[in-house]
Amino acid sequence: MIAYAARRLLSAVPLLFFLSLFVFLLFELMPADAAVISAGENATPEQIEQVRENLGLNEPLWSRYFDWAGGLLHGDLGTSLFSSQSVTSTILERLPVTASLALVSMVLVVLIGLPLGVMAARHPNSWLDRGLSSFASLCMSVPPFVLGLLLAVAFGILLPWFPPTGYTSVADGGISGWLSSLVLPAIAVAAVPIAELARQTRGSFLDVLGADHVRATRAKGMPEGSVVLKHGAKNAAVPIVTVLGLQVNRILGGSVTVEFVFALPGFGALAVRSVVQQDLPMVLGIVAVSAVIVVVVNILTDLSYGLLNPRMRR
Amino acid sequence: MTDVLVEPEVASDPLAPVLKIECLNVDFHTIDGWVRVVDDVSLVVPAGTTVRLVGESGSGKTVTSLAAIGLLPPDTTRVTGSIRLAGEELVGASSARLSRRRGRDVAMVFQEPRRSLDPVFTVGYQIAEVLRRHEGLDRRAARSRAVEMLDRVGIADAERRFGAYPHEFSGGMCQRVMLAIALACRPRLLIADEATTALDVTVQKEMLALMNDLQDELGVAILFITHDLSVVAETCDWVNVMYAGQVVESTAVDRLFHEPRHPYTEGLLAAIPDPQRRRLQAIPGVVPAPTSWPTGCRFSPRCDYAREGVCTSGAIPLEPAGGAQLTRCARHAEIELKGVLA
Repeated sequence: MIAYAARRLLSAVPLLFFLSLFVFLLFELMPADAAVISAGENATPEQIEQVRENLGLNEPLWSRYFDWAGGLLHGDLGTSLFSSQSVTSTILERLPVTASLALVSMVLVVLIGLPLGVMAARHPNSWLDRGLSSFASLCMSVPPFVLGLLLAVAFGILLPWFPPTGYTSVADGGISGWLSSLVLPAIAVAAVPIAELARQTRGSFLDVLGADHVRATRAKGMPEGSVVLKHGAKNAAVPIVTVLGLQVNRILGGSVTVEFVFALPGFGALAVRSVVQQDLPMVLGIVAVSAVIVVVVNILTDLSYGLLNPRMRR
Repeated sequence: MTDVLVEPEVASDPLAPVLKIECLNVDFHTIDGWVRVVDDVSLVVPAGTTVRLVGESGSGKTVTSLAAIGLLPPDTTRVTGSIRLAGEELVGASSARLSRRRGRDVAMVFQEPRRSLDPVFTVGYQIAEVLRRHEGLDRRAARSRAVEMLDRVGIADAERRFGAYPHEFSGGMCQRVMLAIALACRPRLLIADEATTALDVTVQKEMLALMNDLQDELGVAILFITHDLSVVAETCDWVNVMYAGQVVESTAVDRLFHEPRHPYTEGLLAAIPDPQRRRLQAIPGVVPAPTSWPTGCRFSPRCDYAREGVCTSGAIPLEPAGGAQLTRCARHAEIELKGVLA
C-alpha cells in the first residue's frame, strides 16, 4: 500500500511539469500583449517598449518559462498587471470563499446524491427511481448560473429567506451568517454533481446488490442494513469515489459563473474579472492553481482505490 | 454447543425432518405477468441425512432451494405452500425472522466459490461476521472460532490466512471458506447448490470427502443440488429428480440407479459418461421454459415412451411405484426402464 501511494505521488511530478509547460505555452498563443495592457490606453510606443523591458518580455521563451515555473515552485506567481498586487496573495485572499462554497456544495452532493442513489438502487423501477431519473435529467440540463439566477430571484428576493448576493465570512457573521450566504450558490453549483453522483451510485449499487457474493452474504443471515451499507457500499465505492472526485472539478468550474452571479468575492469571480481585464499573470496563476487542485484531487481519488479495494494494492 | 431455540415437536423427536417442503409453488413476476417456475414440489430432508435434488438447468431446483432459505426477492416472487425448517414455517415469515434463521439453522454454499465471497473483505472477517451475528461473540472470540473453522476445513496455516482476501485463494480454497462460513454456527441444514460443479474433478472429490466428514462430525443434514448424477452415487440417501418445476421421481439412491421408474431419470442415467460406451448419450431437446410447459406430462415431447392421450391429457400425479419410491409417469406400470450398475 505504501509503495502504491509512493508510486502514485511520484507519477504526479512529470504530470505537473508538463501541465505547467502546457499552461504557459497556451498563454503565449494568446493574441493579448501584456506590455500593451500594462502600459495603459494612452501609452506611447516608447513607454510600451519600456514596460516590455521591465516585465522581461524580451527574454526568450524558455527563459521566461523557467522564471515563471521557478517562481511557481516557491509559491510566487508574479504580479497583477492592474493592481500591482502579488498574484499569490490575491489568490490566497480569495481562496477561502471558494473553498467555503466548494465545501458546502460537496456536503450537499454527498448528503443528497448518495442516499438518493442507494434508495433508487434498492427499489429499481419504483416511482422513486423514476422520479430520481427525471430529476437527474432536469438538473443536468440547467447550467449552474441559470439555476443560480432563478434561486436568487426566488429565495433571495421574492421569498427573502437567504441573502441574494454577497458573502459573509465566519468572522463577520458567525457560522449561520456564513452558511446562509452560501446556501443558494451552493445549491446552484451542486445540482449537476448531485444528479451525477446519484446516477453513478444507483448504477454501482444495482450492480453490486445483484452480485453472487451479496446473495451469499444474505444467505449468512446478515441484516439488510449490513448487506447494503457495509458489503454493498464497500464494493460499490470505487466508481462512486471516482465520480465524486470528478465533481470537485465540476464544482470548481461551476463556481466561476455562480460566484459571479451571487457576487461572491471568490476565486471564480476573480477568474472572470481577470479574463475580462486580460490580466495575464493573474489568469495564468489561477489556471495553474486550479490545475494543481485537480491533480491533487485525482491523486487522493487514486489513493482511495487502494484503501477500498484490496485487489488494487499492488 | 450453543443454545438453539427448538420447536418442541422437533426437540422431542431427533428423527423429525429438519426440512419439510409441502406443495411448494413459486411464481415469478415477469412482464407477461406471473409465471409459475416451481409447481407443487414436496420433499423431506430427515435430520443428519443427505438428500439430492437432481435435474437439468431450468428445472427449478435452485429456485426451490432459495425458497427453502428464504432468499427469493419478495417483490418479484410469490411463494405458496409450506416450508418447515426444524418445525418452523418459513412461508409468510417476516424477512427479519428469516434472516435470523439463515446462517444459524440453515446455511447455503453456492456454485461459484470465487464470486460468492465478498472480494473486499478478508476471508477471516467473513467467517467471524456470521459468528458475531448469530452467536453474539465479541471480535476476539469470533476471530479465534473463525481460525478454528479455517483449520477445520483444511486451510493450512489458518492463523495467517485469516487476513487473506478471496483473490489470494484458489477456487477450491474459496469453496472451503464458504463451507467454513456455512457451518460456523453449526446449522441443522446445509444447502449445497452445485457446490462442487465449478471445481476440478480432484478438488471436487476432496470437497465431497470434507463435506462427508463435517456431516458426520456436526450431524448436519445436507440438501445437495446437482445436475450431475455421477456425484449422486458418491454419498446420498435419497434422491428427488426435478423436471420443469416438478418432482418427477423420488427414491432411495440405490433404487434410482437400479430401477428408475421415470423415463427422464432413465435418460439422465444414460447420459452419465461411461468409458465402456463409445458415444455420449443425450436426451434430445431441452427443458421447456416455464411459459411453455406442455399440458399433461411435461417430459412427453422428449420422451420415447410417450403416448398421445394418456400422457398428454391432464396433469400427471406423483404416484407410489413400489415401496417409498414415487414417480410422475402415467405409464410407469406398463413400461420397462433400464438402470445402470445392474
